Amino acid sequence: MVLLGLSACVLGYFNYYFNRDHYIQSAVDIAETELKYLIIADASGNLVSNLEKLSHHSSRIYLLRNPDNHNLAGNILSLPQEISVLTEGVILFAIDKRNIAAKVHMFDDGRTLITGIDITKEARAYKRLQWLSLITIALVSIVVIVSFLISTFVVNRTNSIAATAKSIMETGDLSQRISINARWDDIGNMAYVLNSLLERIEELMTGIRHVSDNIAHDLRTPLTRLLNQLEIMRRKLPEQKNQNLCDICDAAIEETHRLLRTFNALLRITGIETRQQRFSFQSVDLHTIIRDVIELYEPLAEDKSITLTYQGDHITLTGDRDLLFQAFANILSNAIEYTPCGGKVGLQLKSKGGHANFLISDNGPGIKESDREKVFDRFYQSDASRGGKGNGLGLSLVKAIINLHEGKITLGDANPGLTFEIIF
Amino acid sequence: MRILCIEDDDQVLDYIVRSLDEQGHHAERCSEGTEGFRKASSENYDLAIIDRMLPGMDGISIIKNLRALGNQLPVLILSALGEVDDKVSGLRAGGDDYLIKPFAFEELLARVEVLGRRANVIIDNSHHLTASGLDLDLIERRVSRDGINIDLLTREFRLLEQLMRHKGQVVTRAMLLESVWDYNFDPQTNLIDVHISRLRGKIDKGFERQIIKTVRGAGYIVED
Repeated sequence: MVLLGLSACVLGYFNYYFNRDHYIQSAVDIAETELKYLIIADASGNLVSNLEKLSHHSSRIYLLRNPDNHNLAGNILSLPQEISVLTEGVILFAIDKRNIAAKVHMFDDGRTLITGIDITKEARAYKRLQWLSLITIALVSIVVIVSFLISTFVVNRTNSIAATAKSIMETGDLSQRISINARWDDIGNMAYVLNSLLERIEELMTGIRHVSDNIAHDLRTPLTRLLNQLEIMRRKLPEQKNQNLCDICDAAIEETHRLLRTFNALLRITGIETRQQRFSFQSVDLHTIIRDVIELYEPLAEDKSITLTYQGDHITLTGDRDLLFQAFANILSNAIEYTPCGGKVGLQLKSKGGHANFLISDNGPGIKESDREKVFDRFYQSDASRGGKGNGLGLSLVKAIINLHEGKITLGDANPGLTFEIIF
Repeated sequence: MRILCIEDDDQVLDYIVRSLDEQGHHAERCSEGTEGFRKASSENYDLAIIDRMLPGMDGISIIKNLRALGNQLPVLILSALGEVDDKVSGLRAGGDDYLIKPFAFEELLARVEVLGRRANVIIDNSHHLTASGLDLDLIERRVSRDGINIDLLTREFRLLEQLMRHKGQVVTRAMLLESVWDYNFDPQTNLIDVHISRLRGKIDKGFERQIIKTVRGAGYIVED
């Protein structure tokens, strides 16, 4: 943009400058040739007669003067007051509304000879050209300014589209839309189309979720019946005689329980995600909840000789104490599960700039940066070698609960290990 | 015990009634709300198991109406709705306990027995709970076994207290979580088992007999 403006100015200026020389140069050349001719004529003594003959040309100016400024010959009597010097030996002046370019020669004996040429036409053309150049510069400048304004406008709009897209990627909240106020321009139209696309994606995602929820919901009843039948069967089995059968039956019951738990967890997450009202919200002390969670899980950590440390401030938050307890319980149980025996898990709750800041770090294997976002996906199990003890829904539930409380989760590296930070 | 079951899913009703009968209780079936309310208010039961969603009159209304009549019949609410808020509103309406479907029969049975017993408990003024040599002083918060003092953490004391309060009855893991930790949540692990095993380590140390017994597939029991 700046380059374009600059080049236009340079072009305009060169146009102005070169043409100026060009227009005058041809006139000066003629004057110079004549002057040379007259100098030769002077050598043969024919100068004055030649001058008188030439003076009839109306487009020519001649003036021969004595050293004491006495006119000897020529068709003008005197030079005007205003004379501008163009280059060495070339002068410009106006006489009788005519523009004259003239060449001056001083003879050795002190006489001065001026031969001039009428350049009114050229001067007028040159003037016109000068105007043209100015108009060109002005027009290009306008173009530059207008295109600058347009590009600022476009950049602002594309930035707003990019910001919305980024925010959707970060939060996974598909209900966000690009704010547009008009669609008369291409970008506005594009934003409108993108919004429609987002709407469609949201619809599809909700559809998928509904399908899986419906499956979970519809399978819950038959599974319950299956469980009931299994339990009746188990009670009817004579324990002493058929130990093997009893074990199989117990395993089947346990497996059915697991399935039901998974379905329930799935439905619960959706329930929390779609919950709009916060009727169960009350004032809760995060510190107390976290302390209770630690107390509950402390024996598990002790069994693995894991050192649990906690530092906390009393921070009050408006929230659902049962859900928050569940979230912190899942986070801590995850940390304990993935920390090797004899490891460390540190928890911390601090008030930072008006926000509650919860941080838990362990010295387990951590999570690869590329996988960090995936851990919140439903049924995600980081890798098979970790055993896959849970149902892969624990952290999805955490995410849903924290989102409900308008918190933000960040996973980081504890070198080695994982840090898990929540800011409310 | 004479138990009234109001539930509109025939299969579930069948299962509850049959299983309760097997355990020596006398369960009566009912699959409609208004009819259920009439029975509960006019006949003499030890306990009622009431589903939340019923044709005719919903479970919460039945309980509210019963309480309005001054009827103190112990009620266990059954519900497919698992949200905490539903549970709170159910208990507020006058329900005594809340069980989310699907449930293991052992869970239902344990709660039924605890609830039924609660109704018959003669409130004694003694602040001591005892079971086979173990003595809990509820005011002093002290525990001793055969005269030997045992140091317990607050939570361990409450765990033991819950088991002793229901001496002779099965207390499930979920019941312990609810009463001792007072949070409504799903631990996803065998947390309670770990806590019980620590508690056992303290109260059984140096004794041959184990006081807290595990009931397979159900929970724990403390017996005399």
